Amino acid sequence: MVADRTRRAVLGAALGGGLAATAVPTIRQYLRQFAPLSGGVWEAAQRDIGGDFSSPYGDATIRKDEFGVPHVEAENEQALAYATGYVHGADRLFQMDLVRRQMRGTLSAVAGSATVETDEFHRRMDFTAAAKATVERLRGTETEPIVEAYVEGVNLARRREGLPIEFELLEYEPDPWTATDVMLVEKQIAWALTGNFRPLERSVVADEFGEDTVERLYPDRMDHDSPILRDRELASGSRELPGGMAGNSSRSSSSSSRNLGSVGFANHPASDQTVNRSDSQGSHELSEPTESGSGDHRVGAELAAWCSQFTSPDGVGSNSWLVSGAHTAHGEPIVCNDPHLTLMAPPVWYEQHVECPVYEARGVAFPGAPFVVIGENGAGAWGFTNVGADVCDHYSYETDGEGRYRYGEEWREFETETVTIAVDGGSNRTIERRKTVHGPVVEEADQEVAVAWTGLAGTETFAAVRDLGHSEGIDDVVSALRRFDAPTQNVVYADRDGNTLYWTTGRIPIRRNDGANGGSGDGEAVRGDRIFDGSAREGEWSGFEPYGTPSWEGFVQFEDKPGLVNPDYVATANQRVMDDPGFYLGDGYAAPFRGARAYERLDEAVAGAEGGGATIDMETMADVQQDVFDRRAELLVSDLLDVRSQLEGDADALAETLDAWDGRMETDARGALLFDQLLDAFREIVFEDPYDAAGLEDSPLPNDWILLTLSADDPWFDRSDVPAREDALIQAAERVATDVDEDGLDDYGDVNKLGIDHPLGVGFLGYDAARADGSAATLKNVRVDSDVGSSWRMIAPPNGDSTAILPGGNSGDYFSDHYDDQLSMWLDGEYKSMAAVHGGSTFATFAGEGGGDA
Amino acid sequence: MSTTDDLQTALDRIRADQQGRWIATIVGIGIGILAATIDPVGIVLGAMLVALPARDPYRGVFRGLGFGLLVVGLLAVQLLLAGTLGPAVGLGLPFYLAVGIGVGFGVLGGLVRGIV
Repeated sequence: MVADRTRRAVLGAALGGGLAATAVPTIRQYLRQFAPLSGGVWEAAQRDIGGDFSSPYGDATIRKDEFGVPHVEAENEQALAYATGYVHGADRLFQMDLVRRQMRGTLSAVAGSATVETDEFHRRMDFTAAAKATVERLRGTETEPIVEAYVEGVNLARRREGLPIEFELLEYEPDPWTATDVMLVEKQIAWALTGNFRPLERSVVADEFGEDTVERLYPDRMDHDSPILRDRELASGSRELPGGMAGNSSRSSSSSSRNLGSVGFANHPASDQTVNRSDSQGSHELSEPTESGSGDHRVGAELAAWCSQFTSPDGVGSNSWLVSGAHTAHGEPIVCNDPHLTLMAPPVWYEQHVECPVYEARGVAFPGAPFVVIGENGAGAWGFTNVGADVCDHYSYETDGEGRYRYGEEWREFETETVTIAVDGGSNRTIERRKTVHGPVVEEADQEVAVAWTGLAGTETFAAVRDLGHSEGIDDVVSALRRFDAPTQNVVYADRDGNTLYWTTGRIPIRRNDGANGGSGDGEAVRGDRIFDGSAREGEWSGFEPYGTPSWEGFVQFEDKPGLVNPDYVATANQRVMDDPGFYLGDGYAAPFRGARAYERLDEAVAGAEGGGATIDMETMADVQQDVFDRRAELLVSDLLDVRSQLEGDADALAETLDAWDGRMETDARGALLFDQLLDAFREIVFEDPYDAAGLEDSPLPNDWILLTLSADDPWFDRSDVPAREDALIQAAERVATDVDEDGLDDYGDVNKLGIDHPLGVGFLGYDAARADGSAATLKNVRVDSDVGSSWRMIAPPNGDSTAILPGGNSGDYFSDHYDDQLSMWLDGEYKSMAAVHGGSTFATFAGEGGGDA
Repeated sequence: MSTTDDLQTALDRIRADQQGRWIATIVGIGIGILAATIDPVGIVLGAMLVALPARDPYRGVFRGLGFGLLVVGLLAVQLLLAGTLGPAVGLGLPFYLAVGIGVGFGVLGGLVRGIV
C-alpha cells in the first residue's frame, strides 16, 4: 500500500512537473514553434501559396517556371504591379520585412537587445523620413499608382498566404507593407553602396600615423592604367547624348558647374567630340578646405568604429561590361553584369519577368519594390556597378553645451526629437535624435558628427528604374538616367539597334566653403574626403535640404558626368572612372585588379575577333565572367621569386610551387592555397600587426593594391614594428610553409569554403558550405570572409538569348524547391535562360473586380 | 460514494473489458489529436486519455509513447502531402525536437496510468 502510494506520488510529481515546465517561457516558446501538429514551423512548412484572386486593378496571371521565376502578365501596368506585389509577398515577405525593420530601426522589437545599436544608428539617420520624402517626391507621377498597386499586392499575400518560417521563429506578424517601405528598399541599397565614414576612419589612422602616411596608404587615386574610360574607350565613343545635348558644353557656364575644373579629356584623340567641358572661369584646381581650427571636432576612434559597423563590408562592388556588335558573332552588342553584394539566403535579388501592353521586362528586382532594376526589355539590356563616388559628407561643430551649434555667425538649436527603441524581452532604449542644417547627427562616446548623404532626400531613382523598363532605345534610357539620383552608378546599356552606352548616374555634390549659400567664402569647389567644419560652413552643398526635395542645381550635371555614347567596349569593376573627370568625383574606388583583368580579357577577345579569330559570343562572355585569374598573384609571386635565393627548405619549395602555378584561384590548386595564405601572412606582417599594436584594430587596412605596390623605400617600412619589405615577404613565406602543413591544408578549396548564411544567423536556414573557385580580386568574385560575391550573373544580348544565374534560389521560403536550386549551378559557373516566355505552370490568377475570392 | 470513486469504478470497468478499452482508446486518440493540433500540451492530454484504459501502468506508458509516435507520424504525413518532408527533415535540430516533443510528451502523459 505504501509502495503504491509512493509510486503514485513520484509519478504524479513527474507528470505535474513536466506539465509545469511547459509554462516556462523559453520551453513554451520552443513548443509553440516546434511541437508536432501545433508548432508554427510546421504550419509554415505547409503553406499553400498561389490560387485565384480578384484584383481591383484588372486581370493578371502569374506562371512560375522550373526555377520558380514568376512570369507575370497583366492587362495594364497597375494590375501587373498588383500581381508582382503579391508574388514578392508570397516568396520574400520576411526578407522585405527585415529590410524595412533595419532601415526603420525597429529590429530590436522582434530580435531583442542584440540589434539595439543597429536600431539606434538607423533611427539617428532617420532613413524613414527620407523614404517619406521620396514618396512625396513621386506623388503625382506615373510611378505613384504603380507603387500603390504593388503595395496592395504585397498585402494580399501577407493576409492570405500564411507566414514563412522566420516569422514563426521570431513569433511576430508583419505590419502592412506601405509605399514608404518600398522607398526604404531604395534607401537600403543606396546606403549600402554609397554610405560611408571614410573621413572618420582615416582621421583616426592619421592621428596615429600622420597625414602623409594616410595619403600614401589610402590614396584617392591609385597608380594604374586601367580606369573605366581608357584612351581607347574615349576614342571609340562620343559625348554626343541623344536629343542633341552634347556632354557638357551647353552646361559649362551654368552656375552649378562653375569652378569644377577642366573636364577636357586631354588625352582624347577625338576631343572635338567632347567639346570644352571646362568652365568659363577656368579654375582647374580643387581647393582644400581650410583647417577648422574653430570647430569643436569631437570625432575619434570610438565614433569611427561605431559608425563603420553600419556600412557595407569591404568588397561590395560589381563587374559589368559591354561589347558592341562590331565584335560579336551575331553582330549585336552584349551587356554583362554581376553585382557583388552580400551573399545571403535567400539572395538579395528576385528574378521576375513582367509584361503588360505598355512594356515587358525581365531581370532582377529588389524584393519590396516592383521594378526590374538590372535586366532587359524588348529594346535593350542594362546593368549597374557602383561608381565609388563620394556622396556622403561629415560635419563637426562648435557647440555651446546648451543644445546649440554654431553655424556661421549664429547659434542654432539642434532639431531634436525623442525616439524610443522598443526591445523585445528587454528594456526599451530612449534616444534624442538630433539634426543640423547639414543632416542627422550620429554620436558615440561623446563624439559626434552630422552626416549629409544624397539619399537622405526625396529621390527619383525608382521612377528612373521604371522608365528603364519602359525604354524603347537609347534615347529613352538617357532620359531615364537623368532622373536617377541615388546611388551613383556606372550604367552599361545596349539596344537592339546596336547602340551602346556607358554613363555615370546619380547626384554628385559640389561642395563649397559657404560661397554657394551666400556666405563670404570663396565659392570654389572643394574635395569631400575630410571632416568639414560645419560651424565654419565648410564643404556645403546647395540645392539640397536634408529630407527635402533637392534640385539638380548644386550637383554635377548629367552632361558633365563621365560617359560615352556608342563606345566600342567598356569594362567597369568599381575602378577609377577616368583619369581626369574635371571635378572631385570620389575616393572610394576599388583596387584595379578586376578592372584590369576584365580589360585584359576583352582586349584579347576583341583583338582576336579583329584578327579574324574567334568572334565574341555568349560563351566568350561567360568565360570572362567566370575568370579566376588573380592579378594580385603577378605582383606577389614575382616579388617572392626575387628573394628566392634567401629562402630555404619548405619556404623554397613554396616558392617553387608558386612559380609553377598559373595564377588561377581554383579549388583544387595548391598554388592558389599557398598564394592566398602568403598574401594573408604578408598583409598581417606589413599592416595588420602594426595597426593592432597601435590600437587600430577597427580601422580598415590599406587595400591589396597598396600592399603589393608600396615601394620598399616607403617610410612605412622604416617603422620599428614593420620589417623591411623583403624581410616581411620572407617571414610570410616561412610562416605559410610551416602553417599549411600543420593545419593539414592541401588545396585552395580547403580554405575557400563559401557558407552563405541566413540573416537570422540560424544555421539550418543557411546554404551548405561549399568549395568555391575565385577570390576577392578575380572576376568570378567570391569573398568567403565577408560573404560577398556575384549576387546575379547576367549575359544579355538584346536579342532574347540572355542567360543568368542567382547564388541560391528565387524563393525565400525554406520549404520551397526553389530556395537553393540555383546554388550549385552558380558555383559551377552555369547559367539558365532569361527568355521572355511565359512558361511554366499557373501559380496565381487575378480577375478584375467581380471575380475570385479575395 | 464520491465522484472520484465513481470515475475509478468506471475506469476499472473499461479496463476490464476489451471492447471498452478499444472504444475508450479510439475516443482518446480522437480527442488527443484534436487537442494536439491546438496546443502542444494536447499531446500530453491525448497520451493520458489513451493510457488510462490500459490494464496496467506499464502498458499505459507504452500507450502514451504510441500516441506520441502517432502524432509525429501524422506530422510526417502532413509534410509528405505538402511536399516538404525532405526539407523539414533537413532542418535537423527542429525536426528532431518535434520528434522528441512527441515521444517525450507521449511518455509523460502515459505516466498517468500509474497514478490513476
